[in-house]
Amino acid sequence: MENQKEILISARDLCKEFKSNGRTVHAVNHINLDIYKGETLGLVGESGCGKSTFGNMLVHLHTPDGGEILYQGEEISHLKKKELKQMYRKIQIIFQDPYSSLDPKKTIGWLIEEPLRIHRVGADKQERAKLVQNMLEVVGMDESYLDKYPDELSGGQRQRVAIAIALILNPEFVVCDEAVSALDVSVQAQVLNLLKKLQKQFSLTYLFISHNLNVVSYMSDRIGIMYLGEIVELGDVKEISANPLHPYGRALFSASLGVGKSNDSRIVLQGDLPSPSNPPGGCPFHTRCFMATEKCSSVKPELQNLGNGHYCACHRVEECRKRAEAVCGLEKKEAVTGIA
Amino acid sequence: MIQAEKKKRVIDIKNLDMKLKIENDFYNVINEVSLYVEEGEMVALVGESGCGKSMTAKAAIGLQPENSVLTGRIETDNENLLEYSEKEWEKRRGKETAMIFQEPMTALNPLIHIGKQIAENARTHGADKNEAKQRALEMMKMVGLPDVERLYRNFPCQLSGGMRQRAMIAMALINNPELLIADEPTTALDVTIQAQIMELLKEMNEKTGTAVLLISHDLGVVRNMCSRLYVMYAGHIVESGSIDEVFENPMHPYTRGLILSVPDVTKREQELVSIPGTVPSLAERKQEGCPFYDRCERRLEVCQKKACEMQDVNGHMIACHLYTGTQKEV
Repeated sequence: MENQKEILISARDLCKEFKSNGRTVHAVNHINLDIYKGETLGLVGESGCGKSTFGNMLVHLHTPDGGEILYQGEEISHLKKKELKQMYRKIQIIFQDPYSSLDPKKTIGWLIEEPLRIHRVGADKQERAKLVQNMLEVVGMDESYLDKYPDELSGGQRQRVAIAIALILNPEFVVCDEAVSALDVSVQAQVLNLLKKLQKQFSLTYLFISHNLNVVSYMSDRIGIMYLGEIVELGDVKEISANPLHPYGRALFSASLGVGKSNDSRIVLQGDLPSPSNPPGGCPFHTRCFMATEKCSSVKPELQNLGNGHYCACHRVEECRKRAEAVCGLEKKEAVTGIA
Repeated sequence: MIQAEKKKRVIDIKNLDMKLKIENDFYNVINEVSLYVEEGEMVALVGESGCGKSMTAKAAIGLQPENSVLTGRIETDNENLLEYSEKEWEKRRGKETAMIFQEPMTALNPLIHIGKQIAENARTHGADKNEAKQRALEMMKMVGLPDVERLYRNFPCQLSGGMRQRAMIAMALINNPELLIADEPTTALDVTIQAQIMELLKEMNEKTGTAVLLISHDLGVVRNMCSRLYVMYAGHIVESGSIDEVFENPMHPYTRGLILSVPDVTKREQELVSIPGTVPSLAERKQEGCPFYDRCERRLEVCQKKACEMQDVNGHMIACHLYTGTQKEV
């Protein structure tokens, strides 16, 4: 059934290393991932797990150290300058901090027009100005903002401008790297609504990177959970948010607190995220895992397909699955409080 | 109201006003804020950034900015803390009232050993050198720091974010204060570490009986931690009550908007509720009428001219004309 969906962009065995002080950090460690046309793929994980590095590689802000990126079947990670420029029209990124991603000395109109000038879109100034105005309207702002500077705008408005800049070239694929993390809840809701509306309007494909599980599960069709540079679980949003199988996924989702009702069955993980420059052997998560066995510290589990597009990298996935099924039967009555 | 067993209020803020003087103009930062915390309680103060939460907290521990003017009362033990001199504050701060801040890296001195910084708080309030060290080590163990003897001689930069926040909590609780003010203690931390720190705060609250005033914009955290909450908007308290009541039946349009705008998987198919506009800056705030008027979707005619006083409606306190009587919506 996966063949029915068209793959837009895919990562094959993608790696990225950073070297500092003689140590090597494996920020992204052999990731395989397909992103289908028109979907939103959410990527969650704690800071330092490599989710932003992964996103940056897809839009060519980092060059991969290994593996390849295929865009509609075409290898794009080692393109020449000219081809690259063409590529940039199709893939865009929205950053977290709208305060530092906009040039403070340029007006909003200039900023939104810049991609048009670079890519020579629009015959003359008037035509470009028209495109800019349309774009501003699309993101819910009026032309009175054209001559303003970024510091005259609120955080939510700046993020709208960042979205306008990303979308003005009519891209197909947009990476949203913590695009709403710096915003307050009420404004965050405005921007999330806008992103969803634009996705429909321009049939966009999103890679939505965030550490906020509530936001990711609201936005995404599928969710990938990353830990220390690797994807440990991947699957449909409904399945994962209701019943994450990987112990890390379970801990993450139980630690993320909703406003619905008080949650007494939280799994509190022990210890901190290990340093990515010195990741533990075997399963990267075994040092904090409440289900770890001998095997986990020596043998690394592979990401295995559990059917229905659900993938999980855990030696004890069968037990997790049985437990998940049991929990479903009991309507999540039982509480998992203890840490083994 | 007379209760059978009246609990002591460790802090009782009454009609607190704060004005900031910026270039000869005065701006209202906090308006008529009243809130109290009883002993052993965990109370939340929520709102978006720029609503005056942190300013209220700072006033409660005597750390308000120098260009501020405070009126009203902050009471504990029948004393008005607003009349305290800096000397008196120095005695109180870190002893009866303690505070932890959002960013543990900037709150710790990078050049002094962690242990010494924790012990310092005991030292300033009368413990001698050895006793202070002993108590610091005990506290460090209590907040779950590993290998305390070694960690005592570590610098803050050698600790992870979660460990630093644990150290901050140890420092704040070493004198067994009545009240701990926690200003966004987990905002800078990752989700799983946030869960650890929240669990720790709850545990310490149960173990030591220290009351906690938790300042947060994260409604999920508040929902799971506290027993009562105050909702603040543009310097005003607009709603308060017990957690369950307010979350299950939010009444003020701002509270409703806040709670409904939190995304989650069950709302996938629908558009999120959002509040139009943003929190007004200090200069944009109106002097009269309801502070939420411009963004409110259920505003009444009367709201423009007159702000509503806090009143008891169905068990929780709320400042909104919608619930005072029959008024026409505009």
